[in-house]
Amino acid sequence: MENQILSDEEILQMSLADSSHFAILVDRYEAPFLRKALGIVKKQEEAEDIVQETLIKIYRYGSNFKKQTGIEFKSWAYKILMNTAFTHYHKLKKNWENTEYMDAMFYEEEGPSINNDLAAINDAKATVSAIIAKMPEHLGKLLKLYYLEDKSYKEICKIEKVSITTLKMRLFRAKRLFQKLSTEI
Amino acid sequence: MTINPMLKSKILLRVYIIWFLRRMVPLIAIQIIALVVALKLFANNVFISEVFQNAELVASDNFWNIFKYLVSAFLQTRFIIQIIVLLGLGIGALILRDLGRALMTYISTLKTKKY
Repeated sequence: MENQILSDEEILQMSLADSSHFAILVDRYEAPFLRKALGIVKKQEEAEDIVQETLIKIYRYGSNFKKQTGIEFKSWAYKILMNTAFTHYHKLKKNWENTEYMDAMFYEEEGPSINNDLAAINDAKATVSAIIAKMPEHLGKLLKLYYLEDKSYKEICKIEKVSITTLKMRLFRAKRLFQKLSTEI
Repeated sequence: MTINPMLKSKILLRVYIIWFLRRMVPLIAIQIIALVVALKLFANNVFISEVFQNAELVASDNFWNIFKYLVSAFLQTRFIIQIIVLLGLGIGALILRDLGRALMTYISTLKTKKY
């Protein structure tokens, strides 16, 4: 009962001294995090990896979290979740692009599983594209070029005719807006 | 949506490892270094094999005699040696306490709790 009264911030501080308290935070956030991660990657195992990484990051960087007005543990935790999910999705996409296909015979046998992976990636891509479409054009375009089309900083600078510093700043703003919009979904 | 029951255990095990490496390892390492220094000082000042030989001689009667012999040897030794022995015993106790604490935390971290 007592644990229900304790705030997330208090539990986090307690768990830094004694790791067993972290189980309370896992209980509170495991299911909502999984739901959110599933909304992005659409695959149970991938979503579980994201949730695991997120909760580990929360514990690892827990000492850096300082409660300030307007900054709640929940929003901080969700920000970590979204960043982790985004990085994970990016890795997944890269792995998929680097995959060499097997012989046609094996490929046909393995068809359904590969098609499922493809469907999951396409679904995630569609979700990301939907969020990007809600963003201002100049910011959405940058995210598309960098994350979906895998263009380098140099290439994007050339296309957009901006300096690297400006590009980095715009990308940072774009990512922040992306996170905000994705939490609203 | 189904929640894998192993997920929580996996997370908590990794959290425990981080806690152990961050909190326990530096503490126990310092204690072990202090204990080694204390033992080295003790070995430099006391002819240990002689002490054990004497203890063996009195042990022929019973173990209570060994204890009495060790206490009297301790009381008759120089003050600095008494300090080193007490220091060694103290550090040893601290190491045992911290190892016990690490074990208890491991058990309670991985135990499924219902809140």
